[in-house]
Amino acid sequence: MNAPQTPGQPLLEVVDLAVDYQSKSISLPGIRDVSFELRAGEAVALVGESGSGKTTTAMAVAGLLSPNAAVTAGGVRYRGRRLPIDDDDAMRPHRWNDLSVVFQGAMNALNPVQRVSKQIAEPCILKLGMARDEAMARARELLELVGISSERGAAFPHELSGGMRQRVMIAMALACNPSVVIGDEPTTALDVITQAQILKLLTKLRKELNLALILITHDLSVVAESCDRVMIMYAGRIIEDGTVAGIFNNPKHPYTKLLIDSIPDPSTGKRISQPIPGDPPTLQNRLSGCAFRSRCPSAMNICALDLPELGAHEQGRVACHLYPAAAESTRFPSNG
Amino acid sequence: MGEVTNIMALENLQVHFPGRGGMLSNLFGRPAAHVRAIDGVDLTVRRGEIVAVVGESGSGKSTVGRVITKLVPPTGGKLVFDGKDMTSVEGSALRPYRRRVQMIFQDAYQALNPRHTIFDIVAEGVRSLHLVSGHEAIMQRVAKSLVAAGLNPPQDFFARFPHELSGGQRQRVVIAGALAVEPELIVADEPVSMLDVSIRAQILQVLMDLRTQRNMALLFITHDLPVAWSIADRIAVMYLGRIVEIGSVDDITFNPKHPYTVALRDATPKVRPMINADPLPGLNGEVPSAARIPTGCRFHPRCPLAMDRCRQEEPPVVDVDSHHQSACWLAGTSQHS
Repeated sequence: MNAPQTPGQPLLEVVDLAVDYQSKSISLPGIRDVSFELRAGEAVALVGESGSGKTTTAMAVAGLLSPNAAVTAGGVRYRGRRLPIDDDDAMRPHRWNDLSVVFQGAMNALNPVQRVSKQIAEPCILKLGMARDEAMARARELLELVGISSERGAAFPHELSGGMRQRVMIAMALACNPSVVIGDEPTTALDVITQAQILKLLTKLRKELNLALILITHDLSVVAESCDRVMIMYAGRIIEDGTVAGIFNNPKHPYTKLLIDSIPDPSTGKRISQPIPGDPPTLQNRLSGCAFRSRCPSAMNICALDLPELGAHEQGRVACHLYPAAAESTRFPSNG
Repeated sequence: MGEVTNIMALENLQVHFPGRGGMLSNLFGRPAAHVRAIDGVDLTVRRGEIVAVVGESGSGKSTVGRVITKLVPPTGGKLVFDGKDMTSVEGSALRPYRRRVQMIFQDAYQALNPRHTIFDIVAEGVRSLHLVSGHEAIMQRVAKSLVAAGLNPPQDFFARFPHELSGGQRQRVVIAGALAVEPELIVADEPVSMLDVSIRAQILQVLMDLRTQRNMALLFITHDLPVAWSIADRIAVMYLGRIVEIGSVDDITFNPKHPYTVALRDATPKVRPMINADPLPGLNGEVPSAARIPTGCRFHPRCPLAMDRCRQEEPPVVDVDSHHQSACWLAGTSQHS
């Protein structure tokens, strides 16, 4: 339904995005200088701990920020055109049709007193203008697509298992043929085997439908098999961006290294290693300069003084003073 | 293995709940089936040993922990602690047992009373069990426990409230509260799964140090096989109320004999592909309800290797070797590892 895309042009461009949270009378920095591109069919993971800004980034892109949050700088382009992420009404035609979201708690996101096929049909009626019969047929088709037999569409959400409910959520997200799907911790509440099934399903659908996927997760290990690229966030900023192979085999940022080290890996015999000291910062107590410096084994004097810029290197981007060359490569007028 | 070294043993433990359907089933008077949450579990923990119980939700792993800490009464079998049968001990007779066995829950937010100071939370067990008397002695015990749980300097935390602490610090307070009574066994139910990734290693390190420093035994309940492999000596894999495989962490991780263990290992997201992995096809479906346990081998409807025999006969627990047991008809012969 969308105009064909010029090859090479990114589907989604996030440029210098900043979001603030309003708390009582003060405003707190949510995310700062978040920039990245997403191409059709590409899967990118946004990885971070609580308070890192990964969900804020994704919700800002989807135009779904909570009422106490506001975009204060930067913006998002979709197929080269500005996406009105701060205008709820103007955003409406884009939601479901261009980008949709799969939320974590399927039980909370689904209507408990409506049969699931009806819930899947609803966006088809509202957004695509389908007639009820046509929409119900589409719902059955979508259920089969996500691996649920279409008869199960008559079930209520509570009659389905957690994994099935998550599949229903995915079917809903795909209802209006979006080109970007944002998965907000879509497998976090699931058991290991169900998680593997859902990740496999997402990968399959992404390839079949040429979907671009933004996967938000706190668990670095789930991205290795399901994404092309990984962006690591810390204290509201992207601190490293690279291919899955680059991030896992040759991480640059000390935080990324420690994060990978904290995953026990029987295949290499690596058990619990040197823990990262301290706690991830909250919105209130982020440090000036590099926000990771208080926990960083390689911290230098400059880290307290200067905010490291997210600079490009051969395989990706990193924001760390250990890589001055990377910062140099992007030194263009930028302030604030 | 000698009976003396076991701090805790479960013998053919059963927990069956009378059927209780959901709200709607009750409303419409549908009969509900018997729920067999634990259906014959044998498990021992030696002094100073860390045993991980691994399984998905519905496997009964948390119920095992709750039976050991006397929060759920067993309906069959025995709970033996330090050679004594504790199965039917109740009320004030349990007091010494409560000191010797402590539990750490997953959700530190809910486990801590928001209106109590950290000092009072950690001192609670010491006070109610009258372990030491006098403010000075209690203070020393609390300070020592906070330090052991990694909260340093302890005085900084005495007057604070749970909401002033980070998630990792709160879980440390829960651990300090359990340590304060100097238990011999701690049952930890998913103690790190709610924590941020960078904090998990800190908490696991604290738990491992307790074993080294105090020879404390730990029953570690988790859904995460690599974490279990990382922290424990032995792993027991549970499925639908039974232990389907038990062995050393390396046996279970590198030489699993039960197809469910293999599936669990293969489903675990990998940072790098597992060496020697010969994955079975991924499992279909999900864990059935404990009210409708399949006949024969309870895993057979999902098992990629199921044979006719598996549908009819429950497989016995067979020795793969003296420290590695598996409840699978193929365990003696199977080559998948």
